[in-house]
Amino acid sequence: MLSGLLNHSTKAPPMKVSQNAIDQEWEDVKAAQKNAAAFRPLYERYYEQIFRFVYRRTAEEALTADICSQVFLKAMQKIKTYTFRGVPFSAWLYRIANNEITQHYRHAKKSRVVSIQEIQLEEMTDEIDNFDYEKQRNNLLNALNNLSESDMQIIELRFFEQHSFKEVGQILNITENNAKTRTYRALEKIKRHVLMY
Amino acid sequence: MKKDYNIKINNSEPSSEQIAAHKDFDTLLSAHGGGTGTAEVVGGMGKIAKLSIGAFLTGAAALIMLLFAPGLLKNNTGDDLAERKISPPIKQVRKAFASYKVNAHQGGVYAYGNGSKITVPPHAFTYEDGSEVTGDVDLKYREFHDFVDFFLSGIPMEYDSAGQVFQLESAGMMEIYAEQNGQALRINSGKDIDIELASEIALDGNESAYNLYRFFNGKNPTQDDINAQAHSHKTNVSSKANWSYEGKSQLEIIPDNKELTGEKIESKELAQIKKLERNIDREEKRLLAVAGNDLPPVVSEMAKPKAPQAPNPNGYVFDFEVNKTRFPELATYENVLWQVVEGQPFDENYYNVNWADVEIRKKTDDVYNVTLTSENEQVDLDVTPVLSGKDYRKAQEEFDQKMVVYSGQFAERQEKVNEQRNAIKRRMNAQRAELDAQKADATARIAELKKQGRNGEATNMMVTRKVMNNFAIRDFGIWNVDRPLPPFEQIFVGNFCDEKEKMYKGNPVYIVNKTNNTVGRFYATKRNQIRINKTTENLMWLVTDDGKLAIFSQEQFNNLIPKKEHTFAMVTVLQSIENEEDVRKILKL
Repeated sequence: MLSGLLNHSTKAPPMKVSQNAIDQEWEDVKAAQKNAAAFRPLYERYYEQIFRFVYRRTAEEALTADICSQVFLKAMQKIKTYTFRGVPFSAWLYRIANNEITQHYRHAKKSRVVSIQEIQLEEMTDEIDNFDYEKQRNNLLNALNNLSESDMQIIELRFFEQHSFKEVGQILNITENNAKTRTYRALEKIKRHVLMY
Repeated sequence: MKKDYNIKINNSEPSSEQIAAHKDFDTLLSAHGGGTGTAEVVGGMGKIAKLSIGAFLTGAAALIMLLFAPGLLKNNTGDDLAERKISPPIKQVRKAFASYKVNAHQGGVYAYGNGSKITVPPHAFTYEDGSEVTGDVDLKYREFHDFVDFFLSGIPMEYDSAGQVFQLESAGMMEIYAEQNGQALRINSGKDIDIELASEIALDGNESAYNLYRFFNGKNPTQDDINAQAHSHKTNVSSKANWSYEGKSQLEIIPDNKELTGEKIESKELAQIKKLERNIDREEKRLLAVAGNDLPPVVSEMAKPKAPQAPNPNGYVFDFEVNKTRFPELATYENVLWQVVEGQPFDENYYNVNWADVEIRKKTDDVYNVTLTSENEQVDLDVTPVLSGKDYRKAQEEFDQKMVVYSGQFAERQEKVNEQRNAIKRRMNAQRAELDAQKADATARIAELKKQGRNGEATNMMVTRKVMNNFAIRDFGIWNVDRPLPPFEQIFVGNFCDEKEKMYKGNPVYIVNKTNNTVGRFYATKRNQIRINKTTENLMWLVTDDGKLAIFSQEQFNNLIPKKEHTFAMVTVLQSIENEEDVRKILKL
C-alpha cells in the first residue's frame, strides 16, 4: 500500500535554488528580453543541464546537441513571452526541451529512450510497500515499460531527475497539486502491474 | 496504453568537457538574427507575426508602380533629392491616420479595420533620450494600397540599389508613429512591433519577389544607416537611397473558401490543373494501397512457418498433453514442452502438485496462457512452447524446408505485387506528364500575352487574391512590401503643356499603367524621357499650380511614336478636389 507519499520527499535530495538566486535570475531574463545577446549568461548557466536532460531521453550525443540548439533558439525567440513565476528559469527551458523531444520522436518512429540509474530505480520503490527489489526488479521494469508517455514523464522528472513537485508542475505546465496527484497515480499503476506478476 | 520504451540502465553520460564542446552561443545568436537584441526578419528565423486567417481587405486592389529606366529620368528640378522626398501633391487631401490609445506598460493588439493588425508589446516606447515611456501613448497608423493612395501620399516609389534604380510594385504600404503630448516617441530596442498588413494583389507566380522596405523620409541616410544596412544585408547602399531593404517579405496568400484553399493560385486555368494533379496523387495512393489484393493469397503472415524454440536453461519448463486438434500449429511438434515466460513468479513446488485440471489459451502467436487447477489452488502462467534434443533438431529441419518453399512463394508474390504497383505508377506518371504539358502551355500563354502587352487578358487569366504581409518593425516610419520592377522598353520624349500651349515646368507628373497597376512620379521639364508599355492602358496626369489635375489619356498615348519628341497636351479637369473620392472619380482607369 502506498502511504505518506504526499508528505514525504524522496530520498534523493531535490534540486534547490534559493529565492535570491531566482530573483537575480529574473533580472538576467529581463535583460535578455531586451537584448538577445544578453541571453548568453542563461545559455552558459543551463546548457549542460538541458543537454543532460535531453541526452537521457535520446542517448545520442549528436542528436542531443541538435535538439539543444533548437531548444535554446526557441527560448531566445520566445523569451519575450516569459513571465516570472517564482521558479527557476530552467523550468521553462525544460518545458521547451520536453516539447522538442516529443516532436523528435513523433517523426523519428523509434522508441523513446528512458535512462535510469539503478539507484534511482531502487529509491523509487521505497514508495511501494512490501516491494522486494531483488525479486521484483524485472517486474518493475516491465511496469515502467507499460506506462503512458505522460506517466513516464512524471516518473522521470520526479524520481530520475529529482525535481520538486513545483518544478514538475512548471515543466509540464500543470499545477503543483496536479503534479503530486499524477505522481501518486503513476506509482499506483506501477504497483498494480508489479503485484500482478 | 503500452508505450514500449528503450530503457537504458546505468547509461553513461558525456562528460562536462564533452558537453561544453557542443556549446556555440555566437552561432545561435546569428541564427536568431540578433546582435543588438532585435529579432529581425532574416531568412525565416526572425520574429514574425502570424497570419490572421480569414481577414479580408475591403476595397482597393494592389498597387503597381511604373518603372523608369535608370539614368533616363532627367534631373527635372535640378535637385535629385527632391524627387526622392515625400511630397503630397494635394495638401487638403491626405489619408487619415487611425489613432489608438496604448498603455505603454501593457501594450496591446489593435485592428485597422480591413483586417490589418498592430501588436504592441509591453514597454515598447522610449523618449528620444532612450528613457522608457510610461502612461498612455497615441499610436498613429495608416495604409496605402493603390495608385490613388500613393499619389496622394506623395511618397516616391523608386528604389536605388547600388546605383541601379528600380520602381517598386507594392503589395501594401503603411505609415506608423507614436507620440505622447505631441512629443515623438521611438520604439524601445528589442521590443519590435508586429504588423499584419492586409492587402490584395494580382497573382502571377512571382510573389516570392516581394521584399520589405523602410523609407528614409526624404533625407539621405546617415552613415550609420548605410553601415547598418551594408552589414546586415551585405549590399551597398547608395547615398541617394530613399528606401532601405529590410529583408524578404513574409507574404501569405489568404485562402479563398470558394476556391481551393491553402494553394497559391497562378491562374484559374492553372488552379484547375493543380486540382487534377491532386486527384491523380490521391488516386495513385488509393491504388497502391490495394495493389496485390487481387492476387491469390498464396502466402500470408499466418502461413509463414514458425521456427522452433529451444528452452532457456535458466527457465522453468514443464510438459503436459495438448489437444492438437484444437491447437493445430502445435501438431507440428511432438513432445512439446512449455517454458514459463520470464519475469513471472513460479514456485518450484508446482512440480510436485497433482493438478486436477489444465487449461490452455492462446494469447499471441508465441505466448499461451495456462491455468493449473488443483484441490487447493489455481495458478495462471504465461508460457511458450519449446522443444529439446532430437525433437528440436527434427523441427528445425522441417522449418528450414518450409521456409525455402515459403520464401520462394513470397518472393514470387512480391514480384507480382511490384509489377502491379509499377503499372499504376506508369499510368499516373503519364497523366501527370500530360497535365505538366498543359500547365506549361498555360504559363507560356500568360507570358506571351503579357509580352504583347495584352496584360488585360493575362490579368484576367490571373487571380487577384487577398494577402497578409507579416513583419516586425523596430523603427517608426513608412514601411512597404514591394518588389522591384524591370524597366519598360519604349521611351517617349516630350514636353508638357496646357490647353493654351503654355509649358508646364516643375509640376509633378504621375503615370499609371492599369494592368500592371503602377504609379511613377517625375517633374515636368524640357524633354522629359519616360518609359511606358504603350500597348497597355495608361494614364498620366500632373498637378497644376492651382491644385487641379490635368490628364493625358490612353487615347492620347495611342498616338505617340517612340523616340519622337512629343508635346504632351494635358487636359485640365476643372472639378475641384475636396477629398480622396474626388481624386478617384477623376483618375478612374
